Amino acid sequence: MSDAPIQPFPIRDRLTPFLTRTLLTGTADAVLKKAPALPRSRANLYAPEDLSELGTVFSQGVLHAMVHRARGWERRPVLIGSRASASRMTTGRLWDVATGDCLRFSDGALELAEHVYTACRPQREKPDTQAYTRAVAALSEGTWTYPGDQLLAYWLVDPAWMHLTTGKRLDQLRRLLRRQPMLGLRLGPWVQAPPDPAALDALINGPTRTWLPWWIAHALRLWRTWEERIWRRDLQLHIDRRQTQAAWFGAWLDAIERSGFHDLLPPFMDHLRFMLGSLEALAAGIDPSDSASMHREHNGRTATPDELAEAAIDRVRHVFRRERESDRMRAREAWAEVLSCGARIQASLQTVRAIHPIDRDPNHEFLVELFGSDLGLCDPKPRRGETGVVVTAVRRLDEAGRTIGGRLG
Amino acid sequence: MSRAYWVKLSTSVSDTIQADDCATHKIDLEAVVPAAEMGEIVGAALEGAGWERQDDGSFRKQVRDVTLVWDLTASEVRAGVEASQSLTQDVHAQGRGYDEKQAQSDAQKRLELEAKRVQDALAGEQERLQQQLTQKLSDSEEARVREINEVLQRAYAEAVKRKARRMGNVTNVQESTSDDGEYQLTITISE
Repeated sequence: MSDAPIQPFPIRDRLTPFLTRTLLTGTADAVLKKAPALPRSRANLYAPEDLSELGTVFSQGVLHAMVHRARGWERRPVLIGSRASASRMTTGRLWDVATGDCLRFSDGALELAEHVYTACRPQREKPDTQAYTRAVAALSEGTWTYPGDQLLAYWLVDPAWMHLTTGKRLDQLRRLLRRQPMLGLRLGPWVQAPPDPAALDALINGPTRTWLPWWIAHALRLWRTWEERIWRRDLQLHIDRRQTQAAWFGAWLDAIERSGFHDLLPPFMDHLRFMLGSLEALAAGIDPSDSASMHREHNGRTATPDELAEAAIDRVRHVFRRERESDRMRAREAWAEVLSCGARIQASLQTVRAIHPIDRDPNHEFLVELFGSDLGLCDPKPRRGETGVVVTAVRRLDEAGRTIGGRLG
Repeated sequence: MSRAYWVKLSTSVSDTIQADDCATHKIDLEAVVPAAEMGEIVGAALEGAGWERQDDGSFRKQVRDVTLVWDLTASEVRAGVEASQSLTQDVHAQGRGYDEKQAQSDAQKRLELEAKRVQDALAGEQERLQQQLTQKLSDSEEARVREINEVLQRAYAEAVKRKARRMGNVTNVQESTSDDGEYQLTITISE
């Protein structure tokens, strides 16, 4: 037995820089070259100053990620209050609306960080898949009593996880994503795990609720960067992904309606506009000489919602025109499922409009204000008071694609 | 002096290519009278328009080489087309070698290559047939929708008449169709 003194694990030289770089930039490859493994025995692993430093990294790193990677510096309208009916509306930046509990972390956060470090650390040029399993298990079994844990998991998660999970691990990840709606929103359509309504309600009504407008916007921006992958898939996988997207949107919109916090709607509206716009761009790219452009002006006037909806349907038909009619119909239905989420928002607006202005709460006023301002696809400078162009357009897309009604003349 | 051996081989490649396509029209039927009676009225309207009742309760009709099946229970009309073709093509190949065995082997390899080329060409035929069927389905859409709407128009007219009779004493019923196909129904009821 060697008498040499046991060297303490260099937490500050290895784990701390890894976490710092991952939270600040989302990558940590340079830090992990020849990185040693964490000792199996955790006895005396951390000195008090190490724990203090890691705590600082967690809170400042997560805050940095929310501000810089989630664009927390953008001003957003936010409803402040524990209940939507008793809230007040304000417009501010992320740090203006933060509550004291947002950046509290439990012991589970440290355990998660260790597992992710081990999983990402290269071993014999192959990732340690067992470490991923332990990390997923840590996330699944965590009580998540503190909101900082969810934020930390969101920023440490790498979409590459899903490529390493097979069989039981994939089922485990899917169960996890149902319980962790923000992780699920980040990965959802690609892992096919619809969120658990109770988990969504707990998140929306929890301490990090005021950060959700920026958080959701970041997750949906990731969806947009992955849109190209969906288009490169074969038709059946494309349809599957659209249907899963529709399930995710539907669950979130239902939860937002239950809570009444309508300040969470704008990121979803942005995404619906993006999807309609992507149809035009893709069709033009496929066959520029035969592109039926989504005319925003018809003989010098602005396109009506019905014209926008019909143009979107034509666009889907055009993009999938080489497919069988039955497959095109399934594609149109899958798209209509996603875009008809706008119909749910329209229904919320109609419900609120039926409430007398004198009886409306701040969340009601927020919804009316939202539909009175920037919504139009057809007008870059929307007229104040214009009703939901996008919502009407997507509802018509849904109806036109599905129904033939009888008429007497 | 060496001699070259030549071997000719022949075979035929056969395949039956099949293609099909379908479109579904969902019918959103408004219940002017109770739903069960509405279904009965639509059934009668379908028979009046030349649709054939099937054993499973659905109705079938051919419209421009497209088979329409109206399912009253599911409230939808399915339009389907299908076609199949049997294709056969002879394939020949010639091989050369320094002995008969070598020539046979060479000919066999060339025959397999040629057969694969023909097989790929048949796959192209399958795609062409599929596109033809899909185009046929697309071209018939206007006629299908017109047929469906005419049935619904008859059904609604009958339903409205029945409802009117229940509301009071019908003293006058006037039906007309204008030159541009506009249908008008006027029912006069006295209390």
